[in-house]
Amino acid sequence: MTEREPSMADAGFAEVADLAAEARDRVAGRIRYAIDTALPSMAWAALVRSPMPAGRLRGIDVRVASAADGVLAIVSGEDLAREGLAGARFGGLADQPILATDRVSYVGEPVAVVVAEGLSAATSAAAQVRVDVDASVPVFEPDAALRPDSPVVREGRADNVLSRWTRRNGDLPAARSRAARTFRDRFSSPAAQQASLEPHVCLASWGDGRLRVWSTSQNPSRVAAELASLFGLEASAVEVRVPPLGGAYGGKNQAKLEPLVAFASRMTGRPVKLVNRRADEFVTVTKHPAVVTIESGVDEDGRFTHRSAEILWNAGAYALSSVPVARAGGLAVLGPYRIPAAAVESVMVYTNHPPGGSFRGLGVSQAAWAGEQQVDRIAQALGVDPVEFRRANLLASGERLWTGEPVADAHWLECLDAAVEQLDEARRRDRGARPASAHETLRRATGVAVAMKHTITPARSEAILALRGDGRVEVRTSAVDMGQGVEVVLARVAADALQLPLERMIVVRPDTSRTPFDMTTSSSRATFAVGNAVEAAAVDLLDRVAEAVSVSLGVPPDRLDRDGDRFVDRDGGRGIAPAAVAAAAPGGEILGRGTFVNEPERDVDTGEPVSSSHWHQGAVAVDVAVDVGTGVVRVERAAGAAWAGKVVNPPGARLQNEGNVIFGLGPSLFETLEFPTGAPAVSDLLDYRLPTIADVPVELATRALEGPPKADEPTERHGLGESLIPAVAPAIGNAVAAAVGGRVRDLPISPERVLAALDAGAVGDARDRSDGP
Amino acid sequence: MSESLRLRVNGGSVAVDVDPLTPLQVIVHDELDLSSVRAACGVGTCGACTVLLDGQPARSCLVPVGLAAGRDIRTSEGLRDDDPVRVAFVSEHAYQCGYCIPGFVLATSSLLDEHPTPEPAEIDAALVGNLCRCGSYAAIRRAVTVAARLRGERLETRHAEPSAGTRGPNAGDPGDPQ
Repeated sequence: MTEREPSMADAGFAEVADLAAEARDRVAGRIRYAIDTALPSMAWAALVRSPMPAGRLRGIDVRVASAADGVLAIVSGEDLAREGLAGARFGGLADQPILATDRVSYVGEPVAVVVAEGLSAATSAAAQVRVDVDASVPVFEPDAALRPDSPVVREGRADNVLSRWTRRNGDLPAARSRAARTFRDRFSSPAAQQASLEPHVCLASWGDGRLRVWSTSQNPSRVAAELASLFGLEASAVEVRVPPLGGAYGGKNQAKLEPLVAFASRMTGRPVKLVNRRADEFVTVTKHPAVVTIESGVDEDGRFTHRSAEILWNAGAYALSSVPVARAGGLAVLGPYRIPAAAVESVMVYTNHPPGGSFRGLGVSQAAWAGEQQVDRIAQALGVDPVEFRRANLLASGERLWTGEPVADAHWLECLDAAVEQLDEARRRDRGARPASAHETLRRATGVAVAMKHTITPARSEAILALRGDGRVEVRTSAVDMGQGVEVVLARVAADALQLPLERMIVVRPDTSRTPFDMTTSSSRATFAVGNAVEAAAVDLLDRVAEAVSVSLGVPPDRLDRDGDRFVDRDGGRGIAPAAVAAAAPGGEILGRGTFVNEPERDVDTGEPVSSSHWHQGAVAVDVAVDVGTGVVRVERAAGAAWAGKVVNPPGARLQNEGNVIFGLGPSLFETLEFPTGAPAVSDLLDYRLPTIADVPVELATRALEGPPKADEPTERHGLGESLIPAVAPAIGNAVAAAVGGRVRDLPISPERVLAALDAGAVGDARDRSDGP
Repeated sequence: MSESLRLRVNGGSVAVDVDPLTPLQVIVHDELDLSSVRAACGVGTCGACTVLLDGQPARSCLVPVGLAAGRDIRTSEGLRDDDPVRVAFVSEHAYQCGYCIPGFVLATSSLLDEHPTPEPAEIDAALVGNLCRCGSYAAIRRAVTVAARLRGERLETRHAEPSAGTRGPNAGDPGDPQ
């Protein structure tokens, strides 16, 4: 085969100088992703993975593989030991080795890296490496892992508990005795795969004592810090660059391939690139399975007396984002309701599954599937309309969340009303429903659900705005473009704050040698947190420009007026364009710096910090048609409303809201990932079914609600990446229950489960009629 | 085992020396540097590697390059920026991460060649083999409808002014690897 001359790895994506051209390039297919990166003399990596879910790693046999054509090196735990890195750990709880050394903990755990001159040589050699594991008994289910006689997944965690998040508020025993009716339910969600079309990719290269990495990462700042720590480098000696991501959905949060690719590059002295194959993706990161047991009491008036829940999560073998997932789900499971007494215990358990990570909705989807279906069940039992029941119990601004903390800015009622109203409008348009056939077997019904999701609090974002001599402004942040349109949002925020045309903005993509710290592009926080950092940097830049102009003209800053592109001396009339001053400044630019930290407000009574500086809020309403012959559920119409505060980019906001509903259809109706023997039962996109265009309701109406949070505060810009997703599955579940009489309690809402619920409904779903499970 | 093959890509001709069983996707993306033809699922189910083979959408990850030799291969690079389908996908914001979008654009071009004013069900049927994990499908439906209108308008213009625009919408050739 002819060898294409590799281009510079970051050519074509380092910055967006023209937003309109970037949009055309994206549609045309001209933008470059990490998968397109290459460096001169680059070698290719392929991973050798553990075939067993648990056991002691006795060794690997590389004799055949290392003699194969083109193989440069086979890097394994022995090399780590030789380099003093066998004990090095990274990840959410610093529990993850660079490569498995003495033991393996899941099927697919990286054991060795084959580095070869080409991808096919690396891949075929990797298949010839024999991994010798002294297998031990694995544990796959959290309840089994919690038993005293369970195998231990992680050393030092004898009880297999990765994290335990608990919160109580109010007098639960007293509230229980006050309840007129009490409801107990159990709901479950399976694992799923984020399934970005571009897989995880990493390219690493060493030179001059520096490590350069191009990666599909949602948090380059953290990856750079972890790599520096692992390899004993100064933070400034690691550069992590992130091209546009071909999808992420949480899956590309946290370091994963970067440490082992960097190590393989160091061992071979060559730039090394690794591209996950599709099957690799299914063992690289998953969605956390969860079992939720939830109890609610209501008084004679249909108001909550109390709610309590236990969530048991399956973390898999390494922490990744498990701690925040347990917390996020724990905070959200009881919902944004007035609840006088409450308790939640959210327990994250190590098992021998591949690790669970962030999945769009971060633990809240699993929680809301339970909490919001139980709300409907209560309404049904009380003979109250589910929308009215929610209206009577939803929080208003200034009221207290179940944790006892105040919610300054509550908009769930508006979201619910807007969702219901849009669904009514969609019905009046009367499209979407398929015509009734001669043998009508469809039952139709409506369902609603609301969603509340935290944002990481506190978290830091930094921004630099650089005015250049040509009058253009570079917007430098480490916010990752993964299709959510963050580059458009940040350019607009900067242009508005500087009162300059949008066309002057140049958005610089993450490069930790050039762009400042950002905690992570996740938690739907970039618009809010990075946006605020950019705004602060704009204020600083205007000050710095005024200073520089003042020096240049020899007049005090308070005598300067801004007149279009010039600063003019109010008294003397002399003026100069800031760009001209920037051109003469050191480095040819004037810098403004901004930092934003969403410090949590403190409860005025208790002094306790709130759990989240704001809440992502949304509501979803759906009309479904259930084929009672086949059990197939079709969402005929869907409507959603999310609280945006202020919309920065209306088309982007619409895409996020619609995308929430569409993405949410998958885990609701068909996505599931089982690991019967530790290996994934499906590992390609033929068997793992994603939503297609044909699954999308013809009537899909969404709204991003705007308004000031409080009378005396500026309007906030909120991200919309996850505001509706957690409500999608329970809204569909509620509609299906209303249609067939029985309730599906385990995701996904498969035809088999719908038929079982139909059978249960035909005799009156015992669990739905009674209070207990 | 390498063979010398001649490929007709975006109206140009290029010689490659390859194993004829290599997937066409690998050749056009890696060797010809046509970055729009993207690897994703590798089993023909997602459509990110869509090319038009003699005008019909094909999954280039499943097509051995030897079987594509001599046929008319079109990729997104063979469309012009003012192609109505591209214009409509941009104006309707029918993209998020964009990884899948060139495949949707080609599938839409092929649809509109056969059904200039497609019904909603025809749009869904034509695009059901292309996956967008970001969930831009609603915007994509709007874009297809707008693209159909734009193409119709251009045809009318062309009929009204026979001297202008004798090139078909797909005739532009900036992506010619030659």
